[in-house]
Amino acid sequence: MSKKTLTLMSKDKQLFNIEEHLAVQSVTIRNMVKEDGASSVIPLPRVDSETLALVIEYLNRQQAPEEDEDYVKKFVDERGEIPTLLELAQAALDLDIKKLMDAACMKVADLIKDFTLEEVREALRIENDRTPEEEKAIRDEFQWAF
Amino acid sequence: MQPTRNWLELPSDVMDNILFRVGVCDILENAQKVCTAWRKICKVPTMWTVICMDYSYEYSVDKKLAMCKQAVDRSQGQLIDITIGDFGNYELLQYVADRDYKDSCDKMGILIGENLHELEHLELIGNNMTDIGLQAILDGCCHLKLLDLRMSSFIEFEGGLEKRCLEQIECLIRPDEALKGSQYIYGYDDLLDDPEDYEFDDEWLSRLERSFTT
Repeated sequence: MSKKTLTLMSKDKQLFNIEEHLAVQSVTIRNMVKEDGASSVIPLPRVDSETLALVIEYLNRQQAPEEDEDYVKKFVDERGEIPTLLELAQAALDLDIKKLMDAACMKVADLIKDFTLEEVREALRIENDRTPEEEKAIRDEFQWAF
Repeated sequence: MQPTRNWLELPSDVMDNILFRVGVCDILENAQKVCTAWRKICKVPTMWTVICMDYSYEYSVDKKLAMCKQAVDRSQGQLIDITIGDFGNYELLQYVADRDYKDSCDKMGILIGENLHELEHLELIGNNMTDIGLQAILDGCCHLKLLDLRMSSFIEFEGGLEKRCLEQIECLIRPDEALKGSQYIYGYDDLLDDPEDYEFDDEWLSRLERSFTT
């Protein structure tokens, strides 16, 4: 019996094929398959093609279950760029792949832990939206220096 | 990959998940100061259900103690798992335990405020409630005439709460007032020594029943 294949579509309309028994590691896809057989293309409107290619690579892994923890760690370690990891975490959220989501978030947390305030803002392109008054209030609230 | 993407637009589940993993010291020292959105996330009690402070050598013991207390405060009673490294001391453990008592007592105060709107007479002697619970009681129980807070030593009457109590309640008995004269207390010191004595006896119950029926 030939294995059933599903097609996923990224937000930039690229199509990716994946065998159904591997795709259902995603709870989102599993539920779709259960409901209507998911015969048509599954659109992922928030996931770009680069990220979806990574997700497919992860889903296609051939690891024994006991090696899985190490594999997912190594998988995100090798993609240590913060923007890539954030896209990956969002894709894992949309597809409901908990292990991948947690590993990507853990990696981002590990990276920003060692950053200074400015480095965090720069890496995530976050603007400091505090007014000088708020800055002062925060300094007063957190007088850790003894 | 879009180079100009604003990462604050990421789903909040992703940001929450990341900040949850950043750890107590780095949240307090850095993450919460990044921007208003992160500051908000870092104040949500569920961010503090797990507090792990086991191996940081970066900060002084005093600073770690202060951070740990701050983390416990922010958990607002939702603490599930706490790991305290070699900086821990008896006072810190006492603080964590007290905080837990206070939170459950505050929850009781909130329940009273939400449900017993007709309440006129309330005695909370030796309770561990803080201003949070008191505030909820004042908000919800508009008919309260007598409020007895003796030995409820965590009430601080911050932010004009005392003035409000005096305006709203005819008879306020303060936390520091002497215990004698209360009809429901038989020698508070003995009660503290033996928790089993804490159980109310039959005589007490029937007296309470009578007070409701008359």
